[in-house]
Amino acid sequence: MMDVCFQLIIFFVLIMTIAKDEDAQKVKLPLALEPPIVEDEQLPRSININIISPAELLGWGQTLDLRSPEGMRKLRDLMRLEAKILEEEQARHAAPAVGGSKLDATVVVRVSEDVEYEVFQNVIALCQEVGFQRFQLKARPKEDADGSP
Amino acid sequence: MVRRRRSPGPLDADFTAMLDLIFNLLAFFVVTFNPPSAELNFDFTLPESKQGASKQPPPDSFEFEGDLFKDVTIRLSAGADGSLAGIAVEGQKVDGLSGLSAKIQRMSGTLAGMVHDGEPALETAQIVADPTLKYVHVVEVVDACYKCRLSKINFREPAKSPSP
Repeated sequence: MMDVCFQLIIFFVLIMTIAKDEDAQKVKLPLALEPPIVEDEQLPRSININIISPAELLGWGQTLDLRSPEGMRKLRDLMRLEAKILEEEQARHAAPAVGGSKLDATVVVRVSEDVEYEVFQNVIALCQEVGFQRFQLKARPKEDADGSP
Repeated sequence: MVRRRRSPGPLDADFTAMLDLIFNLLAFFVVTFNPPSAELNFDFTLPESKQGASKQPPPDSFEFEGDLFKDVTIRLSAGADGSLAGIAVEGQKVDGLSGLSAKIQRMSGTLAGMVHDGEPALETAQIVADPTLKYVHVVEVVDACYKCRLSKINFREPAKSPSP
């Protein structure tokens, strides 16, 4: 009985690290050397945006076509909603935003390497327009070149 | 008549089959376990968006402080397949990413040793690229900027006119 319990514990410990963001796994990140810091911690307040080729955004449980006005409109609405929630939370806690930005949140952007610059810049500009100023771009370390998706 | 109570014999439970099953399950999950790869982070803060500010074309002239420069505009041109065809810094073409790094370092005065308290004088890199340029090349340029300790980056609206 104790053996079974220990095995179940090991099983669930392994499963915990398997359960990552499924959308993030679909993004093929570009390679980079700098910066040297590698962090895999979840930021306290972050909004994850995953963009895969050719111009599809994965987030909020849906797929948005960033080339269509409808897709950009939906994204704008979603980001405005996120901003509103953050503002209310900040007002409730009376906590000023850190770093001089209006909204105390970081937009974590994962973009596949073959997405066009225009698509990426439109998303960044939209987030800026809504009020987000802190961004974090993701890349793979150059040693990790096994071509994993 | 006294009846002797027989003490119950030791329990004979055979756990072998159950243990085998558990180990098989464990081996299955260990073999199929796929750890996620590590990710690098480029952290930057963009200025608050003013109405149409990001839609303004990059300035023709640059701001400078004496012999040192605060902002630098990096123009990236794309080839037919979205590859990086050329890089220009303040209108001057440079030779690839190594040329870009060298140019930024020259502009910030780092190479000449003219620094303000050990920090480079250059503050922000304004990146302007052709709309069809692949994102991988944008990251390469950001990587080169980070190498030159230039971590404030602003992504401007894609260039409409083809780069010279």
